[in-house]
Amino acid sequence: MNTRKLVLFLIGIGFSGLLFGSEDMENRVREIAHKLRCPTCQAMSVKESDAGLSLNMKQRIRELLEEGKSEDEILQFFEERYGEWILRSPKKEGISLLLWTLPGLIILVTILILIKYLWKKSRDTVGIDTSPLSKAELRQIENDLKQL
Amino acid sequence: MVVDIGYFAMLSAFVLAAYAIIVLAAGIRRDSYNLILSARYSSIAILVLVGVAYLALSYAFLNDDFSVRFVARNSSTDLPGFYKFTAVWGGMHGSLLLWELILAFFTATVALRYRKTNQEILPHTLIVLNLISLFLLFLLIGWSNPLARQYPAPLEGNGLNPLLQNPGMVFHPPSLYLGYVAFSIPFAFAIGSLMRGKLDNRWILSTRRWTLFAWFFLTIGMILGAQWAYVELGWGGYWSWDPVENGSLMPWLTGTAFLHSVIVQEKRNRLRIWNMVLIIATYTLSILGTFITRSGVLNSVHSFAKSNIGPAFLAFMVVILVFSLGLLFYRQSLLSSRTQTAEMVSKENAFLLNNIVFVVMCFTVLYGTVFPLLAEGLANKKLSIQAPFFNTIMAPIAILMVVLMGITHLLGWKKTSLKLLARNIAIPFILAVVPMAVVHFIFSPPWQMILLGGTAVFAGYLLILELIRSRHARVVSDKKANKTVNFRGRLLNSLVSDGRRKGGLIIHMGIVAMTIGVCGAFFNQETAFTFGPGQSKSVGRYELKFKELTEFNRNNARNVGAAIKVIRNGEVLDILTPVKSYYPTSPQPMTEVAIRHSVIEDLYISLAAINKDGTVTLNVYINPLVNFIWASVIFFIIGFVYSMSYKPVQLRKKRGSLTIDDDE
Amino acid sequence: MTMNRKLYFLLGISFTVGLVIVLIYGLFYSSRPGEIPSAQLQKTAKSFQATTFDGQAISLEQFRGQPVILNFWASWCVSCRQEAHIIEAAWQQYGDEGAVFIGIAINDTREASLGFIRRYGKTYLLAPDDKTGTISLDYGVTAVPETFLIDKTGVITEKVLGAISRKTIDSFLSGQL
Repeated sequence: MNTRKLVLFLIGIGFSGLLFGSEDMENRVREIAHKLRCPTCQAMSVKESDAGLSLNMKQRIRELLEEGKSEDEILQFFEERYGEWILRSPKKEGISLLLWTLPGLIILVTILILIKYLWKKSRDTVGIDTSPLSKAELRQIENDLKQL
Repeated sequence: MVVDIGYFAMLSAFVLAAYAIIVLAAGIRRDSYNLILSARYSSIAILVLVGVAYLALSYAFLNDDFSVRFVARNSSTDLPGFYKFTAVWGGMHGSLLLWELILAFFTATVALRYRKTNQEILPHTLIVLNLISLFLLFLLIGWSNPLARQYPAPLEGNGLNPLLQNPGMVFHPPSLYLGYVAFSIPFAFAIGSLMRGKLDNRWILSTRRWTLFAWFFLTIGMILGAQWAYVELGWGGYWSWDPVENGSLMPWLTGTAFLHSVIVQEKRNRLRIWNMVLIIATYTLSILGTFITRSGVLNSVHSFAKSNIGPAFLAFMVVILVFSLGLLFYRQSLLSSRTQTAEMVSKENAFLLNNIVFVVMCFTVLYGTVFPLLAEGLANKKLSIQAPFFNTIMAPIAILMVVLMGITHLLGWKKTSLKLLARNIAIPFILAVVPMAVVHFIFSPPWQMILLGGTAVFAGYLLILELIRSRHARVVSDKKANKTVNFRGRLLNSLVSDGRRKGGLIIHMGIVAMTIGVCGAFFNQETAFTFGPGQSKSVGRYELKFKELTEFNRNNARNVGAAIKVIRNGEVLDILTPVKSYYPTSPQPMTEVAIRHSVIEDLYISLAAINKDGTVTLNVYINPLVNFIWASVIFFIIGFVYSMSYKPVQLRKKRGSLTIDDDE
Repeated sequence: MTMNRKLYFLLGISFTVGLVIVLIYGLFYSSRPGEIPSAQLQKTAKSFQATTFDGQAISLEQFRGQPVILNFWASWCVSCRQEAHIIEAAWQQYGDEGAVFIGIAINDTREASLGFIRRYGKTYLLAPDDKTGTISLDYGVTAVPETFLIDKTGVITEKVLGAISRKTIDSFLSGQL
């Protein structure tokens, strides 16, 4: 397809990325601000919001980074003041474990059940009818394929 | 006067819907053709009456009749005429009326269209549709009457929310409603056949196009909404996993699962209970979406739509669930599939996996959306569950979905030659792995991007190969049949034939394009800075030069903005003017972004502030590949047309046969 | 297979019932989405320094042993107008008995704040937050107005969202004075 083009796009974008290198600090501020919710907005992060409180929070993140604080420490700083509510993605502990694990668990269990069931069924088939598909059946399959 | 006629029309429609239900029930009981005919005609009358009510509301908007409370709240004299017309669905009450209008139109279509077929289940189906109508009309004449009056009438209205004064927002809600409401047709057919106890595959075949139609408009509606958020909200993104967005995504996910699993029932007569479950889930989720939008139970940017209608929708949802699941349980013995054998690697099993993936996706979205309530109820903890959570948890499932999408096309029903499969995917696989490895080593983006992008490219190759192969097969079969077809005939043939297969392939290509667009977000760059007139600043490959502050009027807003020259390699590419718009009816200015689109990336500038010293503060975003998302619409439209052109074999008119079949 | 099917039906129905219960809970029993409990309830209030609009340096520590009503406000906030007279009247009544009233203006210009103070005749301790909102961030303020009730031992006993009512102030101070 347009793999070559895609690669060209991406290389072009990469070069433009180099020009951003000098703004490492700002990028770190954004990265952290993206993980905090804007207290006055709805589904937005502090990064995306220009509300007064969000601007203050961004400034505070910058100051804390300059003090040499790590990302975890900064998130901890805000959590202490606002509660876990301020984090846009809940921590993997307590009741939130239920949130993080259940979807994966469900997909795993269903696929396992499905595989077991299908396996059993395809084995049953072998027991019942071991002869190769008849010509009529093959024709049917071909027709089916064509209709798709 | 006109308004009163409109209200009277809604009242009459309500009475007629009740009448239709009673008459249908009586007709079924006495097996009376005439009673059922009467109910069929009353659905046309309901359409006319609801149409009158809708026109009356539009009339009130166009004439600035502020004695109508809904008009006063959502319009003003200075609103441009076009937006006055569309402001009808700018608030909840009017949207409900639009919803009911679409439902009435679809119901009338069903009542007329299927007069010769589906005789047995049509009355039951119409009962279901009229019950839904009855509920909506009940809301419209009571709690959320869009034509309610207020005296004294204010001289000026509150104005339409400026966020809604955008072409994307104008068509986003009607498109979503078309999708939601169209799903109620297969739902009604499903429930109708359950009620009647006639559970062959007929309802699936008859509603195939309705399902496609619903899926198409839901998809388009969501893309329009995303596009609206992108240009209007000014934070550089298009999807924020807001509860309301999730509300529209959930029925889309189960609807997509349904769209696939009905094929298994049609071809292999399997999954018959499952399809019932899926369509019930899809319809219920579309109601749930409305509940989330309108009740204000969960945080949402769409909170302007808050109202006290939540309990009504919740009650309606519970009624639907109890009724349809109860019915399904009662009829389950009629639905057992004769077990059809198939090998492990076969198309039907791939479809099963596809269904699991979609349903788990839907579950995850639902779970994440309501989990804050669960956490508060169980652990008394206030949590926020927003984009970072959803992105993390959905990425692996989405990757699985894209892989499946590509491979399923290569599988056969019942059995597949694994050798052939391996041969067919080997080269595309390598061609996808190599560029992704290059991307990985140059940019080292997160693994999700590598896998999602890689699988999208991989699936893209497979789809294109399939498309070529299907054309090739046609030419070969023509040759075999010794058909001599001239070039034009051949071209035409290859264009119009095999609509279903082509439609599916093309729509899947749209999904590939969209996935690539989503992957582009991993390369987004953003920056914010302040500069004065004449100064310039380089951002990415561009140099931005602040030309001057400008002020102009557009529509009913006063715009103050900064004209920014976009320069690349010394050449002026464009002048972008991000502005702050001051609407007379809104105290806060709106931020209108300016975007320079190109295939590779968007340069997106939003004006954060105009400072007192004449400088401006800009938020600048560079969003690579984002236009692939909007471009996917083209694939969806073409694929949709192809898919609609196909008619199931079982429904085609047989030459010389006596049965008249006017389905679809 | 029928055993399995029964199990699946049971699973589906319990899931549906669970969902409906959660929605009913959300609709009728849960707190409003904007109601955020403070993470600092029953904890010692964070100390802060500020300079009032009339130039007096204050810090929270100097009021240890006195109940403090710490109110965050802004001139641009609508609900702040609603509560302006209520707080002032309470201050007039309880000020002599030893209750301390502090108003911190956030994200506001000095002129606008002063205009607001004059307009509503506020006379208690009023100070602007610093430019980066140090005090409001330390207290986890999510919106204005918000009021923190700090008892004599310096512990935050309550956070009030939105305009505060006279009743709330009365019942808090009656236990403290």
